[in-house]
Amino acid sequence: MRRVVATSWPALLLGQMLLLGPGTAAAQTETVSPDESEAAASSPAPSPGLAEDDVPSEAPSSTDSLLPPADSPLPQALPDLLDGPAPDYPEAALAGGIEGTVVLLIQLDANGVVQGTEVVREPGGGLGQAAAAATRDSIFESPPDEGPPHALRRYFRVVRFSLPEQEPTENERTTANAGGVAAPDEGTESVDRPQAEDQLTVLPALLEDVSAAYPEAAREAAIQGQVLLELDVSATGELDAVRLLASDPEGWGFELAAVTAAWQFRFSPAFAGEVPVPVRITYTYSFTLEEQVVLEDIEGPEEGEEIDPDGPVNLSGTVRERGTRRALGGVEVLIEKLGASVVTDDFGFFEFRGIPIGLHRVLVAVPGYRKFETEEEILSGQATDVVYFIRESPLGVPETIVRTQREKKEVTRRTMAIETIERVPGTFGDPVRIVQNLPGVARSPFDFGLLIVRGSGPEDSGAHIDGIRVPQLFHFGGFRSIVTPILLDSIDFYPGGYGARYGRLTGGILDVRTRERYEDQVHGLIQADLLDASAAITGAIRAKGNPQPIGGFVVAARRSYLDVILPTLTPASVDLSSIVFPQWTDIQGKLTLRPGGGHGLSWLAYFSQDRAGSRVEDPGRADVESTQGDFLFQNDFWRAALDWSYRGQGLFSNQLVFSTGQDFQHFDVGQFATVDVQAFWLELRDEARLDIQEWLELVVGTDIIASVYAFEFKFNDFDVRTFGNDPNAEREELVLADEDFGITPAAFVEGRFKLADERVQLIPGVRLDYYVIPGQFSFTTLDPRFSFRLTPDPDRRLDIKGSVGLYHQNPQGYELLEVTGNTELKPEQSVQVSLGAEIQFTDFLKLDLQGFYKRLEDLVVFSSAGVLDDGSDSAWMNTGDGHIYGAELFFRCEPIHGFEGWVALTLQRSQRRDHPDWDFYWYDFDQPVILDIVASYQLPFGFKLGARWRYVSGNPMTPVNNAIYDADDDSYIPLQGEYNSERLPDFHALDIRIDKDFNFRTWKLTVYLDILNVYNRQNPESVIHNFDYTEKTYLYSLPIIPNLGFKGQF
Amino acid sequence: MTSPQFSRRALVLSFVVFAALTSGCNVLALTPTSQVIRPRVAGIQAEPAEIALGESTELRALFVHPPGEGDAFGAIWFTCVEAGSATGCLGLDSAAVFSAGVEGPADDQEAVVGDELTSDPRNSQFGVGESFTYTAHGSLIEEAWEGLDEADRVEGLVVLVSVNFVRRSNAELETLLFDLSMAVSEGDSETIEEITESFLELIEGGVSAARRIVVSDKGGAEPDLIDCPASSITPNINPTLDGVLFHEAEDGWDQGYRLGSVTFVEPGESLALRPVFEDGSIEDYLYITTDGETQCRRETPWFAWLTNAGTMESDYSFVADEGDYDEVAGRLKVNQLHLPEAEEMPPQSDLWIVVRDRRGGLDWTRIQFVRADD
Repeated sequence: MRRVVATSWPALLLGQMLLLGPGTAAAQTETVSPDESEAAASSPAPSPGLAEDDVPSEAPSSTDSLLPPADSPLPQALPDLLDGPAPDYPEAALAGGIEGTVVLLIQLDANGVVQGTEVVREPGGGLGQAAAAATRDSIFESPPDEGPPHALRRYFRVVRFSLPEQEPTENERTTANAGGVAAPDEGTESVDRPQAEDQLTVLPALLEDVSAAYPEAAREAAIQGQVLLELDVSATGELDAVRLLASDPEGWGFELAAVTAAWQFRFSPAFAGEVPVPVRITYTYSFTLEEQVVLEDIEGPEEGEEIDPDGPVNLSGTVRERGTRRALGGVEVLIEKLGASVVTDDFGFFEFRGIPIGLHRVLVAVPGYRKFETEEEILSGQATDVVYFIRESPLGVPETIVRTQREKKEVTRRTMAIETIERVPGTFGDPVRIVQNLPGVARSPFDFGLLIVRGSGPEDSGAHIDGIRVPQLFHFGGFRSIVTPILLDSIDFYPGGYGARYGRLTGGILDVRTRERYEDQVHGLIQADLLDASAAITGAIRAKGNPQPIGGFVVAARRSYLDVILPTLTPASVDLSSIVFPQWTDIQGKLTLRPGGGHGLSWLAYFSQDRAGSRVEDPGRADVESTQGDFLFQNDFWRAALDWSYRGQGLFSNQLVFSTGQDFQHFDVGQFATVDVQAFWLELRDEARLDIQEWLELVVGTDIIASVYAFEFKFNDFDVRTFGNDPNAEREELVLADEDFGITPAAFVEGRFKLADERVQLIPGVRLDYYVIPGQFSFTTLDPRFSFRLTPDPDRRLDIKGSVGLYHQNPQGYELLEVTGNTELKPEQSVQVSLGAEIQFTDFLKLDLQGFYKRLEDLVVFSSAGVLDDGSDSAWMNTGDGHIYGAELFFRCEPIHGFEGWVALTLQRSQRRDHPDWDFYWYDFDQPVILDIVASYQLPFGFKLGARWRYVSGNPMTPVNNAIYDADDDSYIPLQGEYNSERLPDFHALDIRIDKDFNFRTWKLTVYLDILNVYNRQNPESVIHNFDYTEKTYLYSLPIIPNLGFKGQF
Repeated sequence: MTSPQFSRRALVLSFVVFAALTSGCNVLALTPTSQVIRPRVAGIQAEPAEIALGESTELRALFVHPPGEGDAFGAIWFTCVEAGSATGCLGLDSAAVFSAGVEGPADDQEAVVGDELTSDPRNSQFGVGESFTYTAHGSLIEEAWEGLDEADRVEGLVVLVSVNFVRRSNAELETLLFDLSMAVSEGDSETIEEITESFLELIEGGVSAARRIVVSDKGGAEPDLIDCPASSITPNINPTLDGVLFHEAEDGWDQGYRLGSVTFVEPGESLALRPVFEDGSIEDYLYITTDGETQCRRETPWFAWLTNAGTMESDYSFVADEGDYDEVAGRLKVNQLHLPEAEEMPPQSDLWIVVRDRRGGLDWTRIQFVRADD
């Protein structure tokens, strides 16, 4: 026999958990102590409760009409209290040492007079009755006339009872009224915040949930619903606030039922390291009409037989997501007939005690997943251990992003969580490529992966992995970063105006952060598409007797195969001899240990290898060696870093990183030359953080880089007498080689003043860099920097920010070498100023506007205009200067209802000149308009569709007005017009990505199609002339490229 | 000592290589250098190829053009001493003296060299006609020569000679030059300006080319005694092309037939052709390196092919690594001319083959094709 019943299933979504910022929780909370209650007049009145006859007793909507009933009560924002007694502190509670929060549901008339109260939550000891009694004698401001009838409005009131000897802490003082309106009160107290770099290491678990009452009218009309709530969980695990974000459908009473139930939840606190921290959780409450199968032939427990709470554990298990095997925490497991339920912990684990012997039906249901039900037989004297794999719903799981919002300190730091960007179109599944779509980042020719930030050159910006500089972040061709996604945690991007912690650069900084969190079991990943294949394995490390993992590991590797596959797929008639097939390999590994006591130890190592080459045997120019022979580009490097961090409960934390590594580059330039460059690196970085006062934080650190560098330029046939000026000159072998040792110690200090409830943040800092090549040259730079952030808006939805600072950058290595450069060079210098604002329109919509100006001085240019002290001409001189100005807009929609995306617009100009007496020219990468629009949408049945559209101004180019024929080598010498006086046509392209997930029992398959340049726009990247410069055509960027791939995870 | 930026710069360099090597498709849309679709200069020969201070050399230019378009052009010649800066003079000569579409001066050398040009009339040698004789004299080159030590005089100075083919007959140009000389002698600035502007307009619409002439003193060299066919350092001589062989086998492994200067051909046919040298065209010579080592070297000439009808299999050909120069199907490689189909084939067309010895020596040969079906 089957019948339809209504049940409600609360579920903790591992939704958007945000560290609470000050004032983000609304508060209208009374804190009651015995002294206050005794001093206050009290006139308790009988508790009338919420009389149903206060509500118009119209019949619920009939099932033939899907209009919501007119009598569904709705939660509202509680008007201000005009007058009323403080609640008595009951003697029984005092005697029992009971304190805590009481949540009341009340009803007001049009004049603010209390018409009824109901205790939703109380810690016991009569506190609820005391609060209700006091509330009934209170008068509130008249509720607004507009809105539903007063009889249908419901208000939540939060009353905090504290024992006198236990003064409330900052955390405890902050609670919130809830009811769908998150209007903050003037009296809002701030919530303690964990350290900015803290990451959530332990998520909050729902210890006690309460099922909401299914609204009767909705049940009769067979209406199902979902209510999206926002819960503020304090550092003690108590609920501070419940906010109603959305309800679908509205008006059926789901809202009040969900908020009422949610107020009764109890959580375990979240932890960032060893420190409990407050978190904000997005929580979806689903009201589902379910078919319940009643199997009458199943032998159930005897009537009246009950669960024995003191009995042995005889049913335990783990709940995992089917496919990924990801443990699902906070999920309720129900043995319906016994009315017994438990909630899984962070590791998806659950256990029942004292289940009666026999066959039991077990139900597991989570919004976003298909309902799971099974039968378990409990045998006498035996414990049953199970693993339940529950399948993702075809409608998809609401966003499952766990994200901590790092403290707002830098004027412009754009942090991207990996989960949000892995499926962005155009990235080919590589999250690091997302940086190419952020404001301030110019488009690299051919999307080659060059980091061109705020009008600076590619050599002015730097890439880091966990704070350690790396020579490159992308493999050849820019298709892939050198780090596989499984290793990534987040990407920090600083286009400029950063603090004293970073140095030796005048452009932007990209810092890729590797993962600190690990899944509880061993997981693996295999990915392959037309470009490459990768594999990875990760897992947690446990200590005996400790349920929490003490660390984890991840190992990953990748290899491209364009060079193997494409030649075999290409018909033999096609000549591939001059086509370049890039080849890349990378390997990474990380081991993390957290032995406790605030200590953390991690070891990270990675290796990257790039090859690209071609053999030209039929040269276009027989007389030029560089057009024939082997062309090979080889770039290998590795790094190994040991990271020790200490994060104590107190005022001090420290991070020490030691890394070493080696770079090797080799070029074959046809028969003309070979180049070998090697460098060995040592880097030490230590950063200590001191919380000196509540309003003052100090960061002190050092950063030392030492390197041994060797190079050899070997020209097989070089006209050493004329250096390329006479094609008829005799050729000789020429070898240029040098080896140097350099060291660049640096120290930095940065203060952070947090004033006016952190609404004013002032961050002065200074950085001292010393650069020396022993016996050759040395220089010292001092870079003062200052930034600020003001938050004038009490809702903290508006931030005004700005920065000014001095930045220095070492000359390039080859510019300093004795044999090829100028040892008298000095660092390039940049003064950077920025001013901007961040506006949080809603919890999902945010606008970041910023203007910037950069003055560049002492730029190293190739010039014959300078003379060294010894009287000799030099190719490299510090005679260049320039300026860059512009504005950036970043309008972002965080994930909501399956949609997310952003608009990034940069308007900028970049000019330089090579000598103070000469005119400015547009810099090579001056792109006045850079527009990126990125959006993705979660479709039914596991599909996800994403699109990216880019519009970028064309790069400047220098026209060729005429050419002179050089009869000696049958070539033409172009006579160029004004430098960079013309511009390539604008670039625009649309990229699309489609993902489809397939969930199997223990593994998950994702198939994706990434299509670059969908409408096959021919975007010119450079101009190609014919032999005498009378004709020209363009070298175009990539045409339409579909890339089909899959990713398997277990 | 370097920094990671070096790698990024290297990445940029590799990107350039990548772009250059993957640009093949679009380049195909451009006219290859072997196709003559507009008038241009394809070579300038100096005979002798290398001279000593005070000696003269006669220059002639190979002016190639589409069929029937070569008659209306005359040539104007200029010279310029590089004075230690090889390309500067090339750029200056083109930019400042010819003013051929260049916006703004190249650098301060213009003024310096300009003064030198007017201080001694021998410094600014110019002429009109199919050939031009340059003499290595004048204050500019003599002062530069004085600045060289004996070892440097072996390699010598470089003089740049420029030629401009303009749409005027040589006779008209000679008249213009005569009028200019008269105006200069009479101090008629208005006429001078008028004629100068006419010249500049002609040059701007003309075809410009330049080459280097080495002025050296090979006799001053003292090479070591080494095993080499050459026993002393001597001035370079021009190679001499002795005609073209036509092969019936596409790979050239047959005896071949020597083509006459006029050859009748069928539209659409392909011709396997091979240049032939006169004996001694490929020289063995001695070279003293910058380290003072004496080396025995042999010239490795290469050939540029040009046609105004049809296409060449390769724009260039060169010598094979092995084989005998004197043997048929030896080291001089075969190239193929693909003649156009009948509807595109002109009644008469040309094939030019230009050989360069990489030391400034140059020669060319011309084959005229006539349609056999006309």
